[in-house]
Amino acid sequence: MANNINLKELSKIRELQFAVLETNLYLNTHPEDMRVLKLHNEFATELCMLTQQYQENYGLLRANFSEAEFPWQWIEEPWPWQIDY
Amino acid sequence: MEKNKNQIQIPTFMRERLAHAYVPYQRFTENYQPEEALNKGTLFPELWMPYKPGHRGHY
Repeated sequence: MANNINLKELSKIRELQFAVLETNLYLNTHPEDMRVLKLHNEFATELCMLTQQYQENYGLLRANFSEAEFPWQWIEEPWPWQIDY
Repeated sequence: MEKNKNQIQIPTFMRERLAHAYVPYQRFTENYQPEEALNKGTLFPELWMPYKPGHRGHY
């Protein structure tokens, strides 16, 4: 696994994380809104896919990655302030 | 004096009518695409209220 970043992909992931949080909060108060439930599932599916792809091709996004390599890679990731957006 | 002894003292502020807060129920219409949503800080057009200095309450 390469410890580098792909800003374009990372941005897409950040955007989807936000979208999923928004549908999550909305559905807490509107549990029977089928349209938003569908939207939520679409966003969440894409987020899951992109997250997995990102972690396989670039760097770790979460330390709970299930296919962690030896040696432990998490500490090799850049800190948020080291990313030049 | 004797009469007031058994009365519960109500603080002045509680004798006034309190403000009633209400939150209208959100109805979903459409959504921004994720990129625009993150930029605007909301996924929902009905919740997008950009702050405009000098404009009171007119969103």
